[in-house]
Amino acid sequence: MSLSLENVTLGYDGTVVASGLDFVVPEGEFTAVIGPNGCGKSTLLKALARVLRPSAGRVLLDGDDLRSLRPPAVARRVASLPQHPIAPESLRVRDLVARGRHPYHSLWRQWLPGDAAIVDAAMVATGITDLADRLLTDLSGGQRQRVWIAMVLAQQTNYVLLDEPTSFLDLAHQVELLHLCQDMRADGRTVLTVLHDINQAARYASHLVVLDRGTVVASGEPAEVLTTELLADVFGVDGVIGTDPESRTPMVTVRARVHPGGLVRP
Amino acid sequence: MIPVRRDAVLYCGLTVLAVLLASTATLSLGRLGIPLTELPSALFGGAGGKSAFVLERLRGPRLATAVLVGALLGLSGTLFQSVTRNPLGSPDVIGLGAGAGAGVAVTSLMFPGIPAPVGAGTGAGAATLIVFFCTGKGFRSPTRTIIAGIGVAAMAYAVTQYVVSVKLRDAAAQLAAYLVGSLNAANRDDVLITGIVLLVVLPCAMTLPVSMRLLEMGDDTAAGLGVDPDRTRTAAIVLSVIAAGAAVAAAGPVSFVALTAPQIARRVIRSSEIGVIPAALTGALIMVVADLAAQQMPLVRGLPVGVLTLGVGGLYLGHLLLSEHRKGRL
Ligand SMILES: Nc1ncnc2c1ncn2[C@@H]1O[C@H](COP(=O)(O)OP(=O)(O)O)[C@@H](O)[C@H]1O
Ligand SMILES: [Mg+2]
Repeated sequence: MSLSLENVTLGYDGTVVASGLDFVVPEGEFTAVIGPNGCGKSTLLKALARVLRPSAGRVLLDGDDLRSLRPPAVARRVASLPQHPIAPESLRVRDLVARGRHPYHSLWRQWLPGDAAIVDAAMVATGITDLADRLLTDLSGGQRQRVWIAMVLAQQTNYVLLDEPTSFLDLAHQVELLHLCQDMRADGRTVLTVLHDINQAARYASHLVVLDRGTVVASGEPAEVLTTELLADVFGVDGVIGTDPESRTPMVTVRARVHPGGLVRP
Repeated sequence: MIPVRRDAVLYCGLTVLAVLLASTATLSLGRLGIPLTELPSALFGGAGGKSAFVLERLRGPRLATAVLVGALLGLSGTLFQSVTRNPLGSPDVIGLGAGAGAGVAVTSLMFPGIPAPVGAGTGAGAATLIVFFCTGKGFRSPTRTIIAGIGVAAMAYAVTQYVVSVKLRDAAAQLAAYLVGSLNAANRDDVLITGIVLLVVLPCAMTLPVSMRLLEMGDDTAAGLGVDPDRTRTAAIVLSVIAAGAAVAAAGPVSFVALTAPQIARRVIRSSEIGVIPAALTGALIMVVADLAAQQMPLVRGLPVGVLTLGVGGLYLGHLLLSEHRKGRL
């Protein structure tokens, strides 16, 4: 199985975010994509999920151009959660999670025998079973985020793409979610998430991809990827790389910013 | 299939019943009415003479046109409102009715031989195409579609007013009745056209609500679940325009039915989910009842049906604007 970008140009209405980009989603890994704001992380995920159409180049899923596949066929293999999904009014949690089954349905079959069990399992995995009958609009940001993740889990795809899934979560639930990503990987799925916290990315992900202005500038195991040069070049900080006392993974501490007076880059 | 809600089924059943009752009244009330005792035999081909004439030539086609036009408008409105996510969205706002009016006005001035429905259809089509090309993105952006529609509608009204003011008075009066929407001239051709369009559009429309519900979560989320947002929206708007166009060609631009029918259905069933069938049935009921009133009720007797829907719909629109305003959505 494989999911990759081949020489793609990505952008919106004339503005180009990335051009000539090649990227292969690391198979069987839990990959964290990191990079400064606006560097194109969300754009990369959208292209991989067939949400955004490249203006040039191809996105390949198992060797097939994503454009030649029907949208539900892609959604049965690649699940994606955008950074800001909209919670519909008057919808119950269970019904939202059940929407993850949509790619498996047809016009005449809007419910399949195994669906209930899959939806239940997704709610157990994300710890939202107790919320099943609540309205989505009545939940806290963190609870809602877990419901979205459950929907993506119910999609039962090989690839799971999550855009900043930890952003509304408190620390305990952030850790919970990162473990969930690890569990998905252990299950044999390939997980690609955008994460903001470099230390969390280094600690929980098995693979790091660093994106800067639409190009992949580094990719590999966290310990190989994170260097002081990279912190200065990409994030504009003068950092020290130590070791996480618990997990022995790299841990970044910022000493100062590289460009006093603002993030000025060539 | 979509898990069907019990209240929706109940609502549809009651609406069908109400349409049947109002239809019976339409056929049997008044001086020319078919007596109730003769109605079954008239309907199933037994009766001759006066009853058959009233059924086949006078009230029958008019009633059938009312039902079909109402259903088309209800269907059109519910698709349009769910695409624009706006309870005020209806084909009227994209200038379809105004375009139809201008089409009739212009053909009656320049080519008096051409029947009014042809002029209406052409005008509605032209207005829709202008809107389509003005937005620069087709119908993909609901906001742009509505704004372009308001502009096109204003231009169409100007054309219509011009024709009305240069035409002879009695011809203008006849034109005015058509411009507000009327069933006075409904005939078998109208039944045929609206019937065929409804048969084609309804099944297509019924495939859309599932995808449209997923679009509520945002385009990206829906696309991740295998929905093509642009295609879904374009399909919904095109079907909505075809349905409204056929209705306009048969009865002229009847106001507010497309706007109110889905809202009424939605409020009674208390569901935010888009029902094509409930909205179509509600549209049919509104038209039949409004036309019954236009035929039999003192004070309004003889008025074009569009005047009634305009009056009642206007009140409802006011109510809707107020409640949306209170909720802070306007
Ligand atoms: N829908 C959009 N329309 C236009 N420009 C966009 C859109 N989404 C993102 N961009 C632009 O594309 C660039 C990359 O955005 P994005 O991929 O969201 O960055 P990141 O997720 O890394 O913060 C930014 O400059 C942003 O302003
Ligand atoms: Mg982003």
